[in-house]
Amino acid sequence: MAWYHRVANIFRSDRHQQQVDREFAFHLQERTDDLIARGLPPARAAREARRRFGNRTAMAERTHDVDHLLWLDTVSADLRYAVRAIRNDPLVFCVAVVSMALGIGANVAIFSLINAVLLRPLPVRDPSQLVVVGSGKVTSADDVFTNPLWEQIRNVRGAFDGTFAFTDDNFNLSTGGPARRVHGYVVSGGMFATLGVAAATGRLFSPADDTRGCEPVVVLGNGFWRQDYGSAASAVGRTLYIDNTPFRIIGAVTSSFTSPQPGTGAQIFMPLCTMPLLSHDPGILDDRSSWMVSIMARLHGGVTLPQARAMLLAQSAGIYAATVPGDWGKQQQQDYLERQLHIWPAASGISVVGQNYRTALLVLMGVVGIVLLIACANVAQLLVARAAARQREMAIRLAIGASRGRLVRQLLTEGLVLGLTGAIAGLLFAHWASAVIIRGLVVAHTPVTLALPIDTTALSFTFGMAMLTGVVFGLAPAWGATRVDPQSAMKSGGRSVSSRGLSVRFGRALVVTQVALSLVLVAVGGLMLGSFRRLANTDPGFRVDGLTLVTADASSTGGNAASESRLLTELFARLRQLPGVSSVSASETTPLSHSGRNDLVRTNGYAPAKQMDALAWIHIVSPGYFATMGATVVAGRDFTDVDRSGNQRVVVIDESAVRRFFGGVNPIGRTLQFGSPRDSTARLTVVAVVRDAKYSSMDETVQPTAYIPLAQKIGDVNGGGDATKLHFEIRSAEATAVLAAEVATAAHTLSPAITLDFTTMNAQLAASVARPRLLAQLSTFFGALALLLALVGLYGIVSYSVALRRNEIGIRLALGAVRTRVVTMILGESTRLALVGVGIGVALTLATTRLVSSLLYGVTATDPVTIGAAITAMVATALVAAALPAWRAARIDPMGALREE
Amino acid sequence: MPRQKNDILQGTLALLVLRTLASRGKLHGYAITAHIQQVSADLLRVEEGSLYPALHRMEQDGWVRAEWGVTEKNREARFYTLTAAGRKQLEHEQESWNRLTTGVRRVLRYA
Repeated sequence: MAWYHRVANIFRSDRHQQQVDREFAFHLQERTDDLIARGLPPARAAREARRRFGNRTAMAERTHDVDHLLWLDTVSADLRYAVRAIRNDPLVFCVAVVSMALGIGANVAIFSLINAVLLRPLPVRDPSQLVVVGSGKVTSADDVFTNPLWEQIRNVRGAFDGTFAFTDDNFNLSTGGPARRVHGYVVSGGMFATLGVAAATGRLFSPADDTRGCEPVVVLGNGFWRQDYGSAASAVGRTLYIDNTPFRIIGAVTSSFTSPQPGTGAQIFMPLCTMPLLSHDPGILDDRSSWMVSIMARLHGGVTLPQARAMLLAQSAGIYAATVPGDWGKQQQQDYLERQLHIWPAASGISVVGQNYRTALLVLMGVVGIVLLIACANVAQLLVARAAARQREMAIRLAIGASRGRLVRQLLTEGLVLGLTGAIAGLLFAHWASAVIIRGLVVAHTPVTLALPIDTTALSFTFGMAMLTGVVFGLAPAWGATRVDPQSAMKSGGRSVSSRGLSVRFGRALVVTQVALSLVLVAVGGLMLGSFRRLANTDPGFRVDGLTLVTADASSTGGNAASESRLLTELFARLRQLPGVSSVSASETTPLSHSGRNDLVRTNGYAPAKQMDALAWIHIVSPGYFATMGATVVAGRDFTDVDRSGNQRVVVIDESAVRRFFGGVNPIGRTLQFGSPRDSTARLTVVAVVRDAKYSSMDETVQPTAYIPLAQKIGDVNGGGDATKLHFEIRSAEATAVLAAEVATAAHTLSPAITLDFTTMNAQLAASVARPRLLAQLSTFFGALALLLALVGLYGIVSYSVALRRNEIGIRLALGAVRTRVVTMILGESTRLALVGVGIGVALTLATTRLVSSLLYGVTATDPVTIGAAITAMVATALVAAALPAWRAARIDPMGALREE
Repeated sequence: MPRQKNDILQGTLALLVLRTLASRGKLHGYAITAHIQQVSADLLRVEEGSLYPALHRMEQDGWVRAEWGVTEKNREARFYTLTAAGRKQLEHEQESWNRLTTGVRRVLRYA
């Protein structure tokens, strides 16, 4: 353990100095005593002792140097040697470093993401004590509750040290014209105290801020406070208009806290009691079927999770009994009463991003893990091949007396230099890659704010990987190289030692592994790409191009619902007059917006096998919707202005609904009813059938859809048919920006308080397929990377074996072998290796791609075309990799090759 | 592992220290000095301090082991003992010393 002492000595230099001093002092004292014993006077004895000892400072320095520099010398010699070895072989080094950088970087990037959304605990006090409340027996952390339920759960005694509820949404900060959307959380008064989050300025909510009829106050997110108020304390007391309601700013949260949901940042926080103001629904807090809040709690000190779970469960029946929605059907009420409250640990919070991307992230982690394996195989192969080439050098050094340990240490140093360089390059790559991935995650519907600091976990992960790779693949060849018998290695002139055959076999095994793993990644990449392309090219059932979507919100224009609704009707009329606009329609939701409503459908003669079978999407649209969207009306008529409240209730259904509810028979003139309790009596007459279209997202399988005229809107929580917020679809030849300006002017002349959001159908579709697109991009990239790494590996092993077989090939050529024969021989070797790898790879692919099947659209996980293409790509790669070595083999000069022997 | 030495004096010093430790067991630096001087009848006298870099180097090379202890006079001192590697090194150094002296003696006698 001498080296350990030397390292330790460096770090405790002062102590070391003192010890040397004490040792010297002892010597001088003993010598002085001896001299005194021989009769010298003490003063002379001491002087004589110092004289005999020599220059004490110089001796101390020399002793010190022995203890430190000797070791540092060999380390720096190892480093110098490593650098020289690298300089001799820069290509090998670069390929190895780039392989490792890509492998490590990809892993760190994906790991950082997983860490951020799934693993890292919330930056709050004692996060391990946090739990999330759910209903039902299965783990599902995304359960939401009604406010009446929350008010019951809030009062659960004994189990918790605090509970809090929250919900999030996008809010508008502009007081008219184009909306300025920010992401906000509406939270219960106890949230900050329960989490232990501090204020950066002012104060945060207390339960006193969250009482019915409370004053509207807002707490700013730290980022928003910095951005909009320059982190000034003077922000406190100022007014912020949120959805046109004035809120008084009372403080800002500390910078470490973003929101209770990792990955979802919050610019503003409002107390739950402002929900009626924000939702324009005065009764929302008492509504027993408005499912809106998530609930979390902090375990009471000393109470274990199972104990708390039992306590909550015991009170669960009472809580549900107290909150039964009165307007539900008997069966639904019964189901409601049977629900049970549960809790699950939630130290990392509830991440929506994490939930949406969980499978995708885990699949990606698997993919990059394989990439790293392939990269490591490359590095190993390069190092092994090089170690074999350096066997003679090693043998000589062993022969002249270098210790085996010294050689191993030197090879290890080389491995570590490689590993460290790879790690640093990998970190840079990861930094770039995670930024790219986060940009890919940020789409309209999921506000993503992810801080990906390279934290200690990620750092130790990176360097752990790098060190492991460096050590394992530095040591493996070191082991082989130093076990050589020096004499035989030198005698053979460094050419055909048996262990070279061994390293070729090892290299081949590595290459076969690489090919097999690459095939899996190429197949996964192919599946994802195919899936995305199929998804993106799916006909959504309407014409996407040239369609601008405008959301107009008149709810803050200061009138009643009727006057606000009239403003929107007027705006609708004006939009039709705009230059370049060919048609306009209005609707309650727009397709592919990941939102919507559904209801149960009843028709004569249709008996659903399961209740869910009777579910249909509901689209509430104005006349002209089908024409504007470019949807195909198969039979019947469009809605007209006659279809308003008071007249015959009508409905348009799609072909899926015809098949489901009317047995495929022409339904025009027949009627259907909805199951919604508030509107279950009205019979709606079918007036048209339209072609199927996507409703909520591109990857859904089309469900039966019913279109209802806007003027006959049913079952709305606001009651009546007055819409205070509408979506307009505008088909226009104008550019969206020009059109937006015109729409803004038109709205402004009606009322400056109308707020507007603009987007295009194209953007909405792109957002809808953002996840599959990101997955396709990443997995195709990694597949290509794997292919490239396998190419390098194959090239390496084939050129190495060509170099070893130089004599043999020379003899063959000398004996009259045709050069093309040599080429086919080399190509054949590479292809054989590739085919063995492909064989294993296909088995692996079939076994593993099942894991990604939930991410696929329109292709099966074992799609033969994709796998066939992957095999072709792999074999082609093998041929390309062997081409250059084969050409070189064919050009071997027989005489030259033989003379070398 | 035997070490090649160019510095004859330093090599000799190591030999003397190793030999001393081999015969006398656990000793502190001063006792080593005193022993060498006594046995050599004060013929070999170097700067006493130069013993310590040599001792520490031998420690780093694993030939000797050092630990702090207390002398009979109840003083703290650093005691050195020979290790197995040190014993091997002693054999090796003794042998090369013998070769050297034999060689030198022959030269002196016959040249």
